[in-house]
Amino acid sequence: MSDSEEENYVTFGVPLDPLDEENIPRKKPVTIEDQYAYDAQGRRRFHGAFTGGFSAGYFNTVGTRDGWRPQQFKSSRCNKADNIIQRPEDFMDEEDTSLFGIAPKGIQATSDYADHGQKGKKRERISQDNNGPIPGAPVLKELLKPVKETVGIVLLKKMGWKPGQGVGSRLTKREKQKIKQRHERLKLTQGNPEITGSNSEDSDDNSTNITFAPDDYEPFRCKPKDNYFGIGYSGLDRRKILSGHINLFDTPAFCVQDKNKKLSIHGQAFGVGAFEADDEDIYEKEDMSRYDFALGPERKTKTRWSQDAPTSSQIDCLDGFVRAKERLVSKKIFKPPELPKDFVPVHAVRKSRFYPPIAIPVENGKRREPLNAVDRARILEDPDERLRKPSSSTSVASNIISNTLNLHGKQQTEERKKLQNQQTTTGNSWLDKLNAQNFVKGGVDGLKQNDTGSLKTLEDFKESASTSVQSSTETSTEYDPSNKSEKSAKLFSSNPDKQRRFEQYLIFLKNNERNKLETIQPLSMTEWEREQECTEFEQAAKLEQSNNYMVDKFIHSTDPTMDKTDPQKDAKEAVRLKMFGKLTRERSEWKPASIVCKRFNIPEPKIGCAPIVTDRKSVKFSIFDSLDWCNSSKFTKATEQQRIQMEEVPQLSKKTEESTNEVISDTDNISSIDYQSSEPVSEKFRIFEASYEKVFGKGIQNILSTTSENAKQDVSDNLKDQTIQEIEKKQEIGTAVKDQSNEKKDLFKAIFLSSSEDSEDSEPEEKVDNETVKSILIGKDPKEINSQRNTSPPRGIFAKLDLDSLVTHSKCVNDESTASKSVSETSLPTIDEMQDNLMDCNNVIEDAETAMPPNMYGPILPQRLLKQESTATTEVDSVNQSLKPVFRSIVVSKTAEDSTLGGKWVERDKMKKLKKEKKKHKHKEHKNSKHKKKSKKEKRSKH
Amino acid sequence: MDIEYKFLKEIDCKQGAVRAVRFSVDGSYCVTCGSDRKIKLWNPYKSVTLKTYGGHGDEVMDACASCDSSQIVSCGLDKSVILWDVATGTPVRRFRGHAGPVTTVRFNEESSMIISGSRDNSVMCWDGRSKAQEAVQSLNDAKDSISSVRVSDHEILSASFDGKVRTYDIRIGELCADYMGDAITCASFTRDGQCLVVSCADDVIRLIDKDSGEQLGEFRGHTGKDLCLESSVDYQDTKILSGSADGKLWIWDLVSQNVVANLSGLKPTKYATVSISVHPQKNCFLASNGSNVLMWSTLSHTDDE
Repeated sequence: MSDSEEENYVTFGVPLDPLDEENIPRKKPVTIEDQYAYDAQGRRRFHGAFTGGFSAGYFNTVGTRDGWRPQQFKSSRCNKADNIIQRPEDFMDEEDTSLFGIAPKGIQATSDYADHGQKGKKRERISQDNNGPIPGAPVLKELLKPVKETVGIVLLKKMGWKPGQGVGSRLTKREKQKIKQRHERLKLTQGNPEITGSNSEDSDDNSTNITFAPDDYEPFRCKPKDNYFGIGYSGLDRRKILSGHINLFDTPAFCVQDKNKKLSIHGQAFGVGAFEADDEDIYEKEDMSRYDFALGPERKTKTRWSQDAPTSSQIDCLDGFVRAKERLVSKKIFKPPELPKDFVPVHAVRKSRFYPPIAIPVENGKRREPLNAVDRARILEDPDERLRKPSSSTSVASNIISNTLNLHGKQQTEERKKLQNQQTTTGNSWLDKLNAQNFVKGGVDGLKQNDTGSLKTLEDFKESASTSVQSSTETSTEYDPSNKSEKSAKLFSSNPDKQRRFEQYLIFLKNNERNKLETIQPLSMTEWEREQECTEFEQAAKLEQSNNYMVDKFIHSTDPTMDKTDPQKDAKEAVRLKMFGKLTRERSEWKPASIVCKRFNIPEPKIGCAPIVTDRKSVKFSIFDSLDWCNSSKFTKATEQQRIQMEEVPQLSKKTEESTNEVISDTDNISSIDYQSSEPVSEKFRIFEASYEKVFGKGIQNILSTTSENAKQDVSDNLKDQTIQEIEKKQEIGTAVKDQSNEKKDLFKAIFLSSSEDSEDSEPEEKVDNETVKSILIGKDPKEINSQRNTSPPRGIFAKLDLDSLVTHSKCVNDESTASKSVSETSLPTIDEMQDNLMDCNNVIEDAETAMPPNMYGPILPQRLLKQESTATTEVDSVNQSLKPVFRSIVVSKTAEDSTLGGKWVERDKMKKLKKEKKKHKHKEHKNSKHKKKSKKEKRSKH
Repeated sequence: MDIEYKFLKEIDCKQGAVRAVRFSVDGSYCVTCGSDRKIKLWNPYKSVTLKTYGGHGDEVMDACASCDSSQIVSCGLDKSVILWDVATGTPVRRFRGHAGPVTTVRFNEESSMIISGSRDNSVMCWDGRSKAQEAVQSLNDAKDSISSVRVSDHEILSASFDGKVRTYDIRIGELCADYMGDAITCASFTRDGQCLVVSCADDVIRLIDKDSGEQLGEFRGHTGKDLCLESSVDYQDTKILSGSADGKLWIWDLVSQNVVANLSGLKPTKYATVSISVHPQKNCFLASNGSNVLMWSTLSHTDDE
């Protein structure tokens, strides 16, 4: 079988020797580590990825071990350097030029020869050598063109095909036309703009048997949209950069032909400068050919990529769009409205928003007249009085007013003269004295004001009081008010009318007829302007007052110092006597700045010393200071004037007598009168009295309050009496004529008066003293008494009037009044007792009350008189909690007194003493001032 | 002891009224301050203008050349003090700190500091080295305008219309004010630095002992007419010089207090001689008269020349 089988098969070739399994050499697989890469020279190196990569390392350099070396240029006279043209190869390794290097240099068929047809053309390298004498492509190259026809074409040609013909069986003309039409239709539907050039149609179409080759097939190509751009937009062409081969070494040469000489400039031109903002296209090569070398119309160079442009411009529409055949109906445009004939275009431009709008003159055509002063003032909004009112009318008005004023002044003087006469006749009457000591003219003026019936606020009153005081001083020295007005400072000198009005206002102020200002203000003034002016004048008046005051002050302050120790004067004297030296020399510390010392090359003197403290005080006078003084000076003036006008007072006092009812009706007036009624009582007496009143004052007040029980007319009587009492008492103090109460007073004096002056300093001490004294006198527990004690001595007469109590407690007082009549002089202790009993229950409240009343000065009513009159009982008082308002009202007078003291001009060291003394009282005054207000308020509200 | 003074030159500065004329430190040049806001640098011996410095906003009142002649400091009614570079003619620094017209200005010895006096009653010290705009120190002791300022090695001497000469001793740190009875138009040190020559508005020039403040001498005869006349001592401290309203340069003998000479130019002038300057090394005087600068010298020195 096998033979047969063998025979059946035919064998070809020689069989391999059977494998000798034992002799097979054991080949170890080569590990990766053992695999080395070698270069052509057998040098071991890694040569990139497979063969294409660059080899790294120092071997792989140009020529030498050190790598590429820049070429040396050596040229001498005898040995001229020849023009060495460097080639890219000079900078390349050998491997780079090998078959697989970056620039293979082996001989191989280029694409021109390798491929035929269009494809080959593309890759054709244009290696034109323009250096030849004939410009353009070499002729020989044109002539000898390599064969490029493909095999297919060759075959077709052999079959009888000619380029330009279609392929297929031959057709008759009609058939051919049909096909052509069909093609064209198809093209149109596709919107292909390509219009094929149709063959020229033969006119003789009768010969049907003539056949033609079919038209060449034109492939119908649809351009697919392969981007995301908008229709018709072709983005930046990237091909320019990415597809083109960047020839690093061969720059296109720029050729210029000039005078039969051809210049060719190689190399890059300029490049990107350091100062150029941005290199627009880093890949773009700048070369000379891009520059214009001749003036003229710009020639458009056809670039490869600008081919499409003309076609698109021809069609003038986007890809895939057809031009519309019908024009759209254009929108109708309406004409702007016609301006009226008489319209004059005027546009005034404001320079800034702070300028007032420019008034356009109403008159047409007329030129604007130059502004006069009034217009300018109007534009500037100058508050000029002259503009507001006609000058003639005011002058008339002011004349009238001034006349009346003069009359008024005359009247006053006449009145005054009369009064003076009266005074001389009744010079010795007690009333004069009373008034001389208790009243100043201020009160009278207040009354006068009351006569006018105008309602005044407290402040107004105060002011009027102060001003009236001033006016009284002025009138005392000069009776004609017009004199004063002449003297007054010209504060409104810019506006004479206003100045006149101000002067008149001052006169009014003196006479306390401030309301009259309105009468002299011109009618043309608005209400607001009037008010404004009124306040203005008020301030100006104050200022003037203060100025007057300051003038006085300066005279007083400077005169004595000039006389005493004026170094300047001394020096002057010395100069006059030519005694220069010590007298004219002043030495003082001076510290030069460190830099000054440095620059003068002098060591700094007094390093580490404290800076020189100059005791020179910078005294700056400002308006506000003077205004402040003006306020404080009210009181000083009041007190000073009081003394001056002693002669005048009696007559005034008469007035007061006549108008006591009115006084009562106006509590403010009362207080103000009190306010002014500071007496030049010796300090000692005042202190004594104060302390005396502290002890015994309660009783007096009780009596006082009981007086208030009666109806108002009674009060007026009381008032009179009290004033009389006070005056008498004062007189008596000097003579020390006393009644029953005098005994106690004397005793008190004996105990207390010796130390009374000093004790003013220390309140607690005084208290203790008082208590002890009282306890001695009364025989009571001092503590008990203390609770009820009125530490604030009452001062002034009207202050003791408690009008509140009049209203509230008149009933109960009446009940008690009958019983109180029987109260004897010796009843004082019992009174106190009763008080104490009652007060025990009110202790807490009383303590609070007693803590705040201040010290009081001034006369008290003598006990004797009180008793004569006494319609009051102690019980009434003790029951009355309304006593406290009484205290408060008293306080008013006290503060007034204090302030007068404060405002007085005393020598400095004296002042200091005073200050010390007053330290204690001051805080109380503050408190009291509060209460004062309160009490006043209460009173007012009750009225 | 007959000294003859010879009138050497009259230079028409052509810059309006010459407010001040000042020798440079070495005496080879002089600076004139004109009312036409210009400063001119002269070689007075040749009557040549070397340079004109313009930059002041108003009349230039005073000027002073630095010790190395590289800088000039000037002051004017425009309230400013200007430091000039001599060579380039440009203002190096401009100090604006005075509230009033600056009437007088001086360098210190080293020319590193500028002291200026003003009608705002203050004397201000300016650091010429730093670029600070503010004054280093302001001496506000005077009660009236400062008329003159002089600087010695350790003192600042200021004269004021309030009648006081104030000596600020930097070394001790002391201010010494001497009252003179009337407004002072000029106060200067003598060359030895022991005395002060004080011109008062009451037409008296006083020689004051600096240490005691006593008067050593009185020089009268000239007329002031409320002009801010300057006075000085001559080079050897033997004469007192002063300008006068009569347009002459008055010279007194320091010791005898007698008038030695009344120098005037060739032409009679209606202007007063206000500013004077004495050569630092010889008896050569410059005086401003109207728009002119006059120059005198003692004969002996002119012979040397």
